Amino acid sequence: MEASLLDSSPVSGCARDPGVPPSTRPDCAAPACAVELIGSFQGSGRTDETYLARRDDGQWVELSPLLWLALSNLDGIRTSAQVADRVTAACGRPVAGGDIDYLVDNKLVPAGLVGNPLGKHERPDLVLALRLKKVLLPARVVSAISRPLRFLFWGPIVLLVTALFLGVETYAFASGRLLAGVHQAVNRPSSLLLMGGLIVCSIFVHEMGHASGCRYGGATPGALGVGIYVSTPAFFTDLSDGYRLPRSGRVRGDLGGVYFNAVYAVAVFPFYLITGSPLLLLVIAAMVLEVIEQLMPFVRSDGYWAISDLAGVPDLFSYFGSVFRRGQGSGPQMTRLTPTSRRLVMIWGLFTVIVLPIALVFALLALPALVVASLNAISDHVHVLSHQGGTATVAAAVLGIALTCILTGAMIYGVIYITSRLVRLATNSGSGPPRHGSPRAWRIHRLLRASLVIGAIAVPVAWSATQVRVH
Amino acid sequence: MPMSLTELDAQDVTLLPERATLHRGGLTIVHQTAIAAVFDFSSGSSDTNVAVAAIVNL
Repeated sequence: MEASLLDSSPVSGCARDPGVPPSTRPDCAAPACAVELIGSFQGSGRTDETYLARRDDGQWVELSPLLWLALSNLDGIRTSAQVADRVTAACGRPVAGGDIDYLVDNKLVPAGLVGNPLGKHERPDLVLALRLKKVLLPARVVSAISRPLRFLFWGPIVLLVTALFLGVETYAFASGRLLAGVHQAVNRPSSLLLMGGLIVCSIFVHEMGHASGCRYGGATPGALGVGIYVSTPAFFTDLSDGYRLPRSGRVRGDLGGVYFNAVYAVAVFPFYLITGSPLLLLVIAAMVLEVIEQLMPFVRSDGYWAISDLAGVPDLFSYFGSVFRRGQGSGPQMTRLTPTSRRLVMIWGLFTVIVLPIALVFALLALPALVVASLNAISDHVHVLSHQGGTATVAAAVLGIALTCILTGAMIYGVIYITSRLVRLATNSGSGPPRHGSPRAWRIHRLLRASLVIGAIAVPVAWSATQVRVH
Repeated sequence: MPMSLTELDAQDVTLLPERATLHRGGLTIVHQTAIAAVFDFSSGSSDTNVAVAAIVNL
């Protein structure tokens, strides 16, 4: 591919003369106004080179070289034939104006890269994605906070912090004072509150670690927010701009959070030395557990993103089916990966296919007991409400009922969400209605698949429900 | 050789997932401790249960 041709081409849909009305397809297509053409996708796990563009709504899009060439030469002025000439010169294959029209109509317009920038464009429908997101800190605030923290990613400082972290944690676990910390937390409500506050603070520090790591590499971190992940609340930082970084930069952003957990533990330790409070030692020990949990790669936490970036595969779950197709990882998607990436995706897939179902079964088995406990709790709170009139007692009971309803509702929602995703996965797999065959038989087949999934979910719940004792 | 329709159809355009780095750890602790506290408050059980819940949650 001739870079010079690419470089000389306008890369923004806004490059057209504002005085020239945008022409209609097929002669003069233009990219959506705010599409940013980033360049080569560095560290991709694919054998063929791919390119990145970002839509005005922040959605990142990966493109094949031909689509990239077509998009980068569209400016709303050149005709399809002129664009085709430039693409032909760049890629060395004859491309006709009609080919460009076809790519625009069937690839670039549906992806939201060409056409109305204000239109509602498709977003990826991801498995196990964060939902109901709310921004807590806008991107500019996250940037302002993370910018001065970049120095913590300087090599010697990383080594120093890591060594100190290991020392501090060894001290915490060897001190024999962790249980005293638990007792203090339990026996004094104020201590529990303090510990909760310190843990929440560590989450903020963790997210700033992601943002700072991302910024250290040269990308701009997005907003920090909170959302619902399956059934539990979760904080997040939008590091989508990290796609523009090379592999090492992306991995730094992924691991920046757990690195800042280490920074946090090291920073809390002097306060422990001053106060001697075992509660602080408990917080320091909790950082190790947080790091371990964050590095689990089975859901979209830090470990998942680190493996995803090491493999150069942005959505590992989209390869899930390919991993097991024909038992050899030889699905069409897998054949496009480099051997190293393929191995990483295979290993991840094999572990995930074991761990996630086990976790799901445990959750399903626990559900009836949790629901019954919640109902008992609500009943007790109602009893308190009807027999005691103190303002504080009533407030505590109302809060208890509200919390119980929210938490139980979240658990039930999580199971329903997972069931619906699995049903969709089961009924959508395959290639749609058969060309030769009855559509009715195909519908029955899908219904059977859905029933099987629902049955597989319902059986452990039903069995567990029979074991629950109601008082 | 001109592009065939199959080649044109094979051109990939993939919407990449948002890189939202999740952190459930701390919130899970707070969230589950809240559950433990709610259940413990309602059942009037001893501190031991809360301690066990806290350790498990951690």
